Amino acid sequence: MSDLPFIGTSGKPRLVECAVLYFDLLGVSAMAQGDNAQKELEYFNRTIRSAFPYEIGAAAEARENGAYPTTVFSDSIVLAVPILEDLSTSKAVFQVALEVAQLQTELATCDYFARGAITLDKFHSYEGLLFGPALVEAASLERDVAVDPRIVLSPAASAALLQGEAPEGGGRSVYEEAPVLVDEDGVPFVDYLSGAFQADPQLELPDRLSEHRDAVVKQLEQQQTNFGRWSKHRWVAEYHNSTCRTYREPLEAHGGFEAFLIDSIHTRRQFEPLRRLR
Amino acid sequence: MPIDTKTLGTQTPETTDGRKYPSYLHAFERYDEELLAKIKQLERPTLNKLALEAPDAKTRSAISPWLSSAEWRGLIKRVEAQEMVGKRRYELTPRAEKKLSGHS
Repeated sequence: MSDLPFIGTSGKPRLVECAVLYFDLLGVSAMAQGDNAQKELEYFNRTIRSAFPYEIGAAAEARENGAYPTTVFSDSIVLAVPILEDLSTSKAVFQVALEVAQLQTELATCDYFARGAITLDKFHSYEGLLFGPALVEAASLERDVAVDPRIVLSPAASAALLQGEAPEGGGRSVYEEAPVLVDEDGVPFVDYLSGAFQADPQLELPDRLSEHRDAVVKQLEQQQTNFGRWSKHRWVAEYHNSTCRTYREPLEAHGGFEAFLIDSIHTRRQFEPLRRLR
Repeated sequence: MPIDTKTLGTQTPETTDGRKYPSYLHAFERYDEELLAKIKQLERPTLNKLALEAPDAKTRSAISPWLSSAEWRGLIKRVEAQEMVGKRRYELTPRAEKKLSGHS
């Protein structure tokens, strides 16, 4: 038997240090139970499969070559990057953050807002069986800490990012500019719009911001009688408006950042960059 | 948004709307030779295909950010999937072909 990341040479399953991403999509459970479930499934299938860069599921080819295991269960998605050979933990976390930023942006503009966590710990994933403390922690962070539609970083994941290698000649970690912000509650989360704007030079900034604004406004309008859900999308509106201010300069040629703001709510939240405390 | 061609070949390529090449992507430029050759060999691979072909975990983890870096530097271009749920593919630009043949 070959030596696969999650299966030892003796055939025994094993836990491997991984950067693990776990998130769920708001509102999917309700869609699955509604009268339009068939239609929702078709839209969900198309959106998820187009947005995800890796094949979903445990295809034999992926297992044998060690590509990243990705599992979708109802509204929950798990992706793991095993930390093998000389791959640093900072690189693994950085990669997950950058990839989920692009994925989150794609999903958000299709009305699917994600909430979850990135953790760093032992994990096992083989033939649909997921196990390990990294997943337990991620599920717990998703439930108890993320609260709003944001993907938070566990303390170990954010520490790994900040301890990433410095460029030649010293200086700040190369990952201090990774798309991660710190929210007012001190919790780091993936700055998904900036991540997508940084990773994808072809992306049309004004178009994507307009699509994101429209998706958020639609949710705010639909959830007006459900404060719990409305407040989650209010957080996204705060984040959206903060991003518009960040991209003030490129938006000048498109009518200014004000034209892209969600003005149906009063926003005041401040987000800070992730920085190493001196 | 297209890359401002005047900024190609510099350390800080920019899009025509003024977005700048993220500095953290410089770290992935060391994979140029290996991954450009792989894209050429695999003929319009998807990200998944490139990951499956990666020789080790370190290279595999670098593929996604490297694709971003290479796009910013005008070395690869994407070919959008025609099928409804298909994956995006990548191919070399003439600039990358030139780089691979040693005329950088």
